[in-house]
Amino acid sequence: MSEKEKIAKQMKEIVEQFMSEPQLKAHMLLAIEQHMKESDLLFGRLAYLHYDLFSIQGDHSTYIAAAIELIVLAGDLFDDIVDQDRFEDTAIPLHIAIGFLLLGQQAIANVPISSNKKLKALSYVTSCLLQSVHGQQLDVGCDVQTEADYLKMVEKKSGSLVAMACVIGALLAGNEDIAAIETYASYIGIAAQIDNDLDALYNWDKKADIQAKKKSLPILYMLESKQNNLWKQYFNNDIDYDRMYVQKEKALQQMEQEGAFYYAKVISQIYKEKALQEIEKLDVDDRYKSVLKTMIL
Amino acid sequence: MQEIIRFLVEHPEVIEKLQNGTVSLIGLSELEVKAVVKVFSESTELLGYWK
Repeated sequence: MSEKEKIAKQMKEIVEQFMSEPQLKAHMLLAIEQHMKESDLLFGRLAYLHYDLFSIQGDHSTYIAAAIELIVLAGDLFDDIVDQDRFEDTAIPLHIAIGFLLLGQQAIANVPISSNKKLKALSYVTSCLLQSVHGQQLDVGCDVQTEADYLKMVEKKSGSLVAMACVIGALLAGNEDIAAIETYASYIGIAAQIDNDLDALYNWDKKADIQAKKKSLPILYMLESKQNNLWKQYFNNDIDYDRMYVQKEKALQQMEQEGAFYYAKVISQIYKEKALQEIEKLDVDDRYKSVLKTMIL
Repeated sequence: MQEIIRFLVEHPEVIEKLQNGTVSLIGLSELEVKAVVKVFSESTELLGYWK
């Protein structure tokens, strides 16, 4: 069984253990199945790796990884509800998301290790989730006007979640020296979000980002262009979404021709390189560094 | 960074010189140049929406 399969199995077992309402439980198990198909469970795997890296006793890696992945899955569902990407009826998804959010924290509280470690870990989870909510609001509030705004927003929205995964693994293992981990984890999160936002352009029909007028890096690049383009027309309200949508191939072609994708990929790569530099400074076994680097590249 | 990318898109011949180290980009750190070279070197494969 792969690490990913072990984490998913543990997630289901936690649901079975703590959820008693049959309909909600069934929905949550289905959501985990769906999540397995769409995700590589990176957050859980990062928590697993960091617990394993710093732990000197006990084997709770899979359980901790599952707890983190449940919290992240809650975040994904909240994101979909807010973006109206997937759900027509929001009541059940909302309950599922709240269930996962609380269940992940309940699972951390249940790890058979010292209360002191768990208290620090749970406090860190709360802090990261608050950061992420701030980032989400900046995102949906369309407050992003510049590259600096965008990077600040994604650091809060996504950097905080990757930091949560890595740091919780370390804290529960008893390592409180988390500054370096927070730094590279945040860089990984920023790079991943830039890549996700690029995917949203490639998968225009599956995401509501363009309709919601979210400004990702390629869009900011097009808005700064000296040439007239469809992106400027759309964001200046000269054309509506329907007129933009029917010209989506042309809009993406304009991005490609002007170098907007290069730009986003370069910024993403800069953050990956920064993360690699920080990982290299870690005083840990080269084997772990190698696994960590493989996970982010 | 946006201006540099626009310049490189208009002058792709500079990429090879960057790789060879025969030209440098003023204002960019070594890490940033490394990222630029990597992305532009892999670009034909990665930027494949129109393939």
